[in-house]
Amino acid sequence: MLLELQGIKKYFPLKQRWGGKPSEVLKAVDNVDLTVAEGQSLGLVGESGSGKTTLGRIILKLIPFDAGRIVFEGQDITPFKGKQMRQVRKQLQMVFQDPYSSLDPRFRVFQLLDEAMLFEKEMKLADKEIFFSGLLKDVGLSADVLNRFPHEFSGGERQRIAIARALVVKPKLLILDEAVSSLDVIIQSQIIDLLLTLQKKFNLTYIFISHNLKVVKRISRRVGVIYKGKIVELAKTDELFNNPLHAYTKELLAAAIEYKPLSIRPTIALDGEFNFVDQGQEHFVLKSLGH
Amino acid sequence: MTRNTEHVSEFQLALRSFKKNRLAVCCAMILFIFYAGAIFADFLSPYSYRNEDRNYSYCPPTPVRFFDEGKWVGPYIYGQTLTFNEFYRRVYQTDTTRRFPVRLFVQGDEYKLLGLIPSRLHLVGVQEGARLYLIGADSRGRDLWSRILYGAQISLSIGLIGVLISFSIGLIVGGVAGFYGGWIDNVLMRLCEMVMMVPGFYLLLALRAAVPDDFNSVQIYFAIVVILSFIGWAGLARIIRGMCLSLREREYVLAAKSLGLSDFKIILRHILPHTVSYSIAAVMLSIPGYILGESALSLIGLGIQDPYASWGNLLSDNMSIVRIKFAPWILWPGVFIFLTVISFNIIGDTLRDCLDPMMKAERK
Ligand SMILES: Nc1ncnc2c1ncn2[C@@H]1O[C@H](COP(=O)(O)OP(=O)(O)O)[C@@H](O)[C@H]1O
Ligand SMILES: [Mg+2]
Repeated sequence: MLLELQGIKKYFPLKQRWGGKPSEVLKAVDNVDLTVAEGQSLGLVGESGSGKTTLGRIILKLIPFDAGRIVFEGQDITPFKGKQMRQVRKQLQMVFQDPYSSLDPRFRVFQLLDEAMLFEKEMKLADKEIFFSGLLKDVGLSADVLNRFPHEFSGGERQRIAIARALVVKPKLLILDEAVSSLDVIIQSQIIDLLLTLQKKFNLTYIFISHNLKVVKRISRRVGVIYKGKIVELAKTDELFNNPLHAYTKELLAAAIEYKPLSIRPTIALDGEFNFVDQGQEHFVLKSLGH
Repeated sequence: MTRNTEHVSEFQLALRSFKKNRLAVCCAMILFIFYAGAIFADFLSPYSYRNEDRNYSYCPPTPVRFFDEGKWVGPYIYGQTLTFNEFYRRVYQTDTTRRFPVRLFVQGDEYKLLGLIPSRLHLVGVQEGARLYLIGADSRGRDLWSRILYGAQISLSIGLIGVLISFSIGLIVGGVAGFYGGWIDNVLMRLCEMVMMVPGFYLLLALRAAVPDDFNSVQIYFAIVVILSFIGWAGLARIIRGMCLSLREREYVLAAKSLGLSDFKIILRHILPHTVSYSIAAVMLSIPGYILGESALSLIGLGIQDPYASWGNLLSDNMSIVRIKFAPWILWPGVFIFLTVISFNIIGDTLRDCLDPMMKAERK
C-alpha cells in the first residue's frame, strides 16, 4: 500500500471558551480509514462542506489533526516534523481547487516552478530551463510561458501550471482537490485527459477529490463517498455506480442524474455506533449497529 | 501562444494606472518639490532660519521688480523705511529712491549643505542695506520664506521617520499576531485596542507631559517622533494583522508549504511582500497624521521651540487675529501644511484604487 489512513479525526472548535476546552465541535473529518495502492486512483465524492478538503490537507499534514495515523510507503509519518516532513512532501503533492489563488500573483512561471526545486539547488539555470520546458510541454503548454505572470493565463492554463509545479519534485501521490471544479466542461475534460496521460507517463497515484460524480467516474478506479466527515461507502467505481448501497450514495447518484437539488432531501442521521461492513467484492458500506 | 507583448506584474500595471491619474501625479510632483526644498533648504533660502533684524518686524513682502519706467533693468527690490502711525503701529513704506538688485548665487549666512559641506552660497539674495522678504517677515524680522523652507525639514521628516518607526512596529506585531493567531493574537490585539481607545490628541498631550521639559531641540524632535509613532503603530498593526490572517489561508501559501518551504521562507516570500503592496496606500494615508500631530504640538507651544522652525510653530503666530489682520502672510505655513496633507491623501487614495483590482484578483 502506498498510503494508509487509520482513524483520522479532525474536529474544529465552534465555541471556544477562554482557556478551556471547546464546548461544541464540528466533526470535519470523523474516523476515516482509507488505503490507496500505488498507481491507482481513488475518487472522493461528497457535497460541499463534507470534509473532503480538510482530509486532503491532513494527508499532506498541511493542517494538524486530532487523532489517527498516516502511513506512507510503510512509514508512519504522523510524528514527522520540519526537515523530515519536507523530505516526505517530495513524494506527496497537491493541486488546489482555485487556480487563481494557488499561484502567487507576484511570481513569474519560472519562479513558481523554481520554488519547487528546493532539493536541487546545484542545478544550472540552463538545465532548469530545459527541465521546466519539458514539464510544461508535458502539461500542454509551450516553453515561452516561463516568463509570464499568472494573471496572463486562463483558468485552465493556470491549472496546468499548478500541475506542472506539483510534478517538479517527481511525486508518487498527487492529491487533486476539486482540481477541475472551477473550469468549464470542455476544459474540464481536457484537464482530465491530461491527468490520465500523466498518470501513465509518470506512474502517478491520484486521490481525486470532487463533488461532481461524473468527473470522479472518469478518473477513479475506486470511489469513496464522504458525508459529514465520514466515509459512508467505498467500492470499485462501476460497482458503486451500478449498485449503490448507502442511502446517501443513492441520493447523490439520483441528484446527479435527475438534477434534483440535494438540499430538499431529509438529512441522513449519522448518530450512534457505526461499522464499516464489507459487502463482498471490496464493497464497503457504513452500517448502523442498531440494525 | 507566442505573444510579443512584454510581461509585467500586476504591481507594474497598478503603477501604470496610477500614472494615468493627472491629479495624483500632480500631487506627487508637489510632494517631490517640497521634499527637495526641505533637503536643499539651506541653499534655497535667502537667510538662515535665525537671521533676524528687529527693525523689520512684520515687514511686508518686498516684491521683486524687473522694469523701471518700462525699461528692463533686471530684478531689484526697493528699500523699506519704518515709520509709526498715530496709533504707534509700525508702517513700512516703500522707498523708491533706494534700489537693491537681487542677485543669484550670492554669499550669505554660513551653513553646512546636507550637514556635511560648509558653504555660504545662497540661491538668491540682496546686498547689505536691505532685506529680501519674498513673502514677508515674522515678528523678529526673520524671513518667513526661509523659515518655511527650514520648517519643511522638520515637518516633512517627522512624517517619514514616524511612519517608518510605527510601520516597523506594526509589521512585527501585526505579522506575529496574524501568522500565529491564538492567544498571541489575542494579547497583542487587546494591547492595540488599549492604545487606540484613548483619543489621539489627549494621548499626545499626556505623553508630551511625561517628557522632561529641559530637553534640547534635538531631543524634543525625537521625543515628538517617538510619541507620534507610539500613537500610530496600533492602527497599522491591526491592518497588517488582518492581511496576514487572510494571506495565510491563501492556497499559494499552502502550496508553498506542500513544496517543503519553511515557515520563515513562506512569511518572507509569500506573506510580507503582499502586505507591503497593500500598506503603501495605508502609509501614504497615515503620514498626514504625523505632520498634523507635530503641527498641533508645536502650535500650542509643546513641540519644536523657537528659534527652530517647523510649520506648526510658524503657525502659532496666527493665534492672534490682530496679527493676521496686519500681517496676513503669516498664514503661509498653513497653506503648505494643507497642500502636503491633501497631496498625501490624494496619492494614498489613488494608490489604493489602483492596487484594488490587484487585491481583488488575489482575493479570488
Ligand atoms: N479552519 C476551519 N475552521 C473551522 N471550520 C472549518 C475550517 N475549515 C473547514 N471547516 C469546516 O469543516 C467542514 C469541512 O470543510 P471542507 O473540508 O472544506 O469541506 P469540502 O472540501 O468537502 O467542501 C465545513 O463545514 C467547514 O465549514
Ligand atoms: Mg473543498
